[in-house]
Amino acid sequence: MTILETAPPLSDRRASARQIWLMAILLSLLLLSALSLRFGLRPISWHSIWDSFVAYDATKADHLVIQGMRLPRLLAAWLAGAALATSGALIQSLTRNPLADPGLLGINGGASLGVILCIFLLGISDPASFVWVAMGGGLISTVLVFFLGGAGRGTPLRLILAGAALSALFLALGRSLLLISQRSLDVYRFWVLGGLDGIEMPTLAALLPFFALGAALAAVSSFNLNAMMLGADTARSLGLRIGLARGLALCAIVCLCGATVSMAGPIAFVGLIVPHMARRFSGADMRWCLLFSTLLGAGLMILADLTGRLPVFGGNMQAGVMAALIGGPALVWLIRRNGSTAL
Amino acid sequence: MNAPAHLHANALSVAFAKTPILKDLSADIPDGKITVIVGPNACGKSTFLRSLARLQKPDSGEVLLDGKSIHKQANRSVAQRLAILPQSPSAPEGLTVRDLVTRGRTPHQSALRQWSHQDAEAVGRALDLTGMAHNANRPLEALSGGQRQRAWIAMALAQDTQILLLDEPTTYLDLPHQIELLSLIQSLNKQSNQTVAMVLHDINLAARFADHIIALRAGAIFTTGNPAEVVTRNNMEQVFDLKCQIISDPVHGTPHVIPE
Repeated sequence: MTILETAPPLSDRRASARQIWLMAILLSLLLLSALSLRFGLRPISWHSIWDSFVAYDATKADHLVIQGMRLPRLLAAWLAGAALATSGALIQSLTRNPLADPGLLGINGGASLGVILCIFLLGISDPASFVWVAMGGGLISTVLVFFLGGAGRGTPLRLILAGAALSALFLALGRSLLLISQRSLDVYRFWVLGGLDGIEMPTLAALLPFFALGAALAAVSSFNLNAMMLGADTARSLGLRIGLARGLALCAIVCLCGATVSMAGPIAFVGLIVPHMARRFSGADMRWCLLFSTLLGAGLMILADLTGRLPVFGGNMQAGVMAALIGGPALVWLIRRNGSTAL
Repeated sequence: MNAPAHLHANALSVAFAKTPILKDLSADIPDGKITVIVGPNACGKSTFLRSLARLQKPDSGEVLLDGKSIHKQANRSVAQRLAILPQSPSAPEGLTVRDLVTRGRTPHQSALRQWSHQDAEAVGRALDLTGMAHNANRPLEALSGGQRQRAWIAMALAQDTQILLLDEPTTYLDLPHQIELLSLIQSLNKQSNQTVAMVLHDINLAARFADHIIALRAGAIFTTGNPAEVVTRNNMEQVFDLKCQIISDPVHGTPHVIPE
């Protein structure tokens, strides 16, 4: 018997490689999560971490730190990373443009302007109250982009152009306000760098429905996008209602990104690069691509948040900045290692 | 194969930016036969085919699928009876032949019910019929033009429809691959009695492979009929402005155009 005859077909090997990677990524994600609870300005023993879950004692400082700060922070990193990466994969597939970023739909621009207006006009400086302003700004600007972009009838290119134009307008408006008001700038600059500081459980709970709805819509969209990837004509020929499919995918992106930006500020780059990493493992199947994006996005954000807390970076580097610092080189390495296919 | 489906165009008119492309065009696509649409460049061949496939909405008139307007039927239900392969379709990098053919099952699936025994069977059959089974796990970009076109046809076959529309399936193929592809389509049509309608540029290939030819000129039907009726010296001069002699193809007995 020759080697050729015993070797499984390529797709089987590929499928099992995919499953092995999936397990490996899941395990690393769990490990990272545990480390993220363990380390910070104040190292806490594994024992205390365990106790804070099974026998919570509000008089113990360690328990307070774990349950009140690190756990919400970890969950926020999970949600933000997963949501950004998933919507990045959706928008790249929807527009058939590998450089598309969920921010291109104007969500970040609208959310930023909302926050700036809130600081400037209402004098609010408590980040917790930015959640709904940012969400509202993001929603309004996405709806505008959707209608300017042809309301589902236009081409994906038109949608991106409308998004880019509106984003630029909103950012310019926001910046001109910041130039006038030093006080607004001081509050805004912390929000805009994208961080997971000070996120508390009630905020997470309030945003959870958006993440859940976004995830469900993304799952449905992954099936549609598998057909849409073959072009609008082929997708229609395969029985898809293009306008509806685009609308669903956009709703998924708005839910996921809107919730993320209102929780952690506009975190750039994660949505752009993680889908490219995910495609290395998933191949051209959107269902796998979304799954890998979700996990890798969460992993990148947790890692970014964890390293951002290291003393080397002053103990308080924003997770959004760290994500780009880690993710950029990682992507370059992946590209160099595998040649430039799929980019 | 699915229940019989019948396609009919009724007084179609289509205009792009006020320029009329199709003018009051009515035609019947005979069931179980190979129909080839021919005509000079810009005569509206592709627009006609795209209208038949509901990819182009007519300004007036309608396409009837099983007697009902195709635009008034659920798109998914249409997709279970009619497949179209658009002109030079594109696929994302890394997509394997099997992945592509699997996508042909989309109208029989839903987000909640994604894979069934029938799906596996239809994909396997489509790969076998097109001779692509041994290439199933290769990515499309690693294939030659001819093989790639076969993969797309396999996708359309996996859709398991009674009607198959093809928009210039031989574009970018050299002559041997054109013949190979059209022979494949012919044998599929003979085996499964699928209704095929396609646009072809080459009148001699049309004459050889068609049961029924629709000759268009300036957005209207000039004449229809079997190859012997349509491919005549007089018609060629009027449809294509081509002075020619018609001889009988010594191998197949079909009419053959020799331009003067």
